[in-house]
Amino acid sequence: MSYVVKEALAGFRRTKGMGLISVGTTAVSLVVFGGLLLILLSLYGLIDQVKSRVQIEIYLSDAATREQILELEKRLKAMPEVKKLLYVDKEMAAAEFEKTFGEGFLDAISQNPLPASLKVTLTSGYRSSEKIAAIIKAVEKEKAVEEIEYGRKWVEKLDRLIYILSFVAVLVTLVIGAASVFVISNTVNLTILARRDSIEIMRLVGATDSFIRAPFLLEGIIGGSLGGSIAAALLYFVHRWLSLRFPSLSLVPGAELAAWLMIPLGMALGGLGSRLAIRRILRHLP
Amino acid sequence: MIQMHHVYKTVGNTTVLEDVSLQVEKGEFVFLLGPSGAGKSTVLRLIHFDERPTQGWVRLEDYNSSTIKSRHIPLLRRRVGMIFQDFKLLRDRNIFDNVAFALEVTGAKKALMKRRVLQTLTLVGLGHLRNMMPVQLSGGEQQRVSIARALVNQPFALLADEPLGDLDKEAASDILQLLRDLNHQGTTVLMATHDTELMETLPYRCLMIEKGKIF
Repeated sequence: MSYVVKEALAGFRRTKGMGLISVGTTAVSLVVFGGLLLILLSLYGLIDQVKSRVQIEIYLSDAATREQILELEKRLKAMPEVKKLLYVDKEMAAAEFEKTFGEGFLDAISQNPLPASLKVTLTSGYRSSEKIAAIIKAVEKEKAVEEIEYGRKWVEKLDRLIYILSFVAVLVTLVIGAASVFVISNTVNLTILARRDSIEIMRLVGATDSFIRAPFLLEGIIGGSLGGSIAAALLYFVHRWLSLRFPSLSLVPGAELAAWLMIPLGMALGGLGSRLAIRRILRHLP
Repeated sequence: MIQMHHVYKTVGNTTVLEDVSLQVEKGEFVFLLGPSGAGKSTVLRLIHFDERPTQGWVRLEDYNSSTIKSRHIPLLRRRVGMIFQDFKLLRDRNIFDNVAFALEVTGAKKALMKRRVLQTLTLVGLGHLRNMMPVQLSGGEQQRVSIARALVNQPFALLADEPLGDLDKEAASDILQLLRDLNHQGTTVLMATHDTELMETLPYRCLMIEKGKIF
């Protein structure tokens, strides 16, 4: 084990600039990858924030009895989709109307025409038009229900946006991820190629493939973790600075934690890059 | 014992070796003599299991090229030392570390490694230069280091591929004497060379190779 650690660390010294280039390449690739990931996460957050304002308004029939309303409330509260339920009686509805449109509008009418309603706030994750339709279907036949309304067009638009965003996220992850593996693997390949002679001599004196591979793998993992740490620190501080400087950007709180994912990702990419490169060389040596 | 049995080796459409059979007994010193491109290095590489025959088989002690598993080849290479015209030393390690390297890959303990390396360097007459870097040594001294590296695992045989090729006359004579001394101590030596003078002056068996065939 001590041989593996000693050789892995010596590898950086022996390849000098090449090792630094490899760390730098990993850092740049991960900054691009992580940056895009953070942007996508923030967009998700933004859409979710907008969606959190989506409410279902269940207008109640004037003929509904107290028991029927309570039964409806009970059914709604039992649903995991329902985060909050607010009962607005006819008087409150009138007060709200007057607050919006000004007093006097309702004076001309002898009877308050506004129905009582239940305002349903949805749990995060249940704010798609599909889920809303399911809730509506479950309660629309209740006797107490007169009519159900929600910002259907808006929700559908947001759904479409999330769908597109998810598609872009998968595409970006695949394309940039593959490009990162390619770039990192090729850079590591150069550092390993520079030591082709050593590898050839290792084979000559009877080193097993796993013995040859181990220090290079560790070196790749260490290099990857260094590159990943640089990328993580950069992303973390840029994200923090942006969220403090431009609070209206509504960046997802805690999303900067995703930046730290770049460290294990860097380690995995460094290790994978080394493994691919060393395998290529071992295959071509006697 | 080293044995090749009706070995053919083709690379692409070129036949490098054709029906080569040879046998080197334990403790023997044998020259493999032939011009450049005759197939000498291929013979040594086949014996070192760097390559496999296209047809026929190679046997080295209990290892046979037709039955050996890939994972056993490193173990076999520890039993056969190999030296080259260009020494193949690690330029970024000193002499001690270059020799120790061959033991390091076997997982030898540090104390044993130190003792064996110093013994072997003394045997080839380089004990006092152990802290030098390869570039600080003459060609003859570098070849001695590569011999020490080949010997440090106490192999039963030493394969030498034109070991005197890059050396001046005096250094070549010293290295040859060292190989003869090692052979006296029991190590089998198979040495590839194009120098016909050696065959005439030394009392060893000589296998002639030309255009991939042994005569």
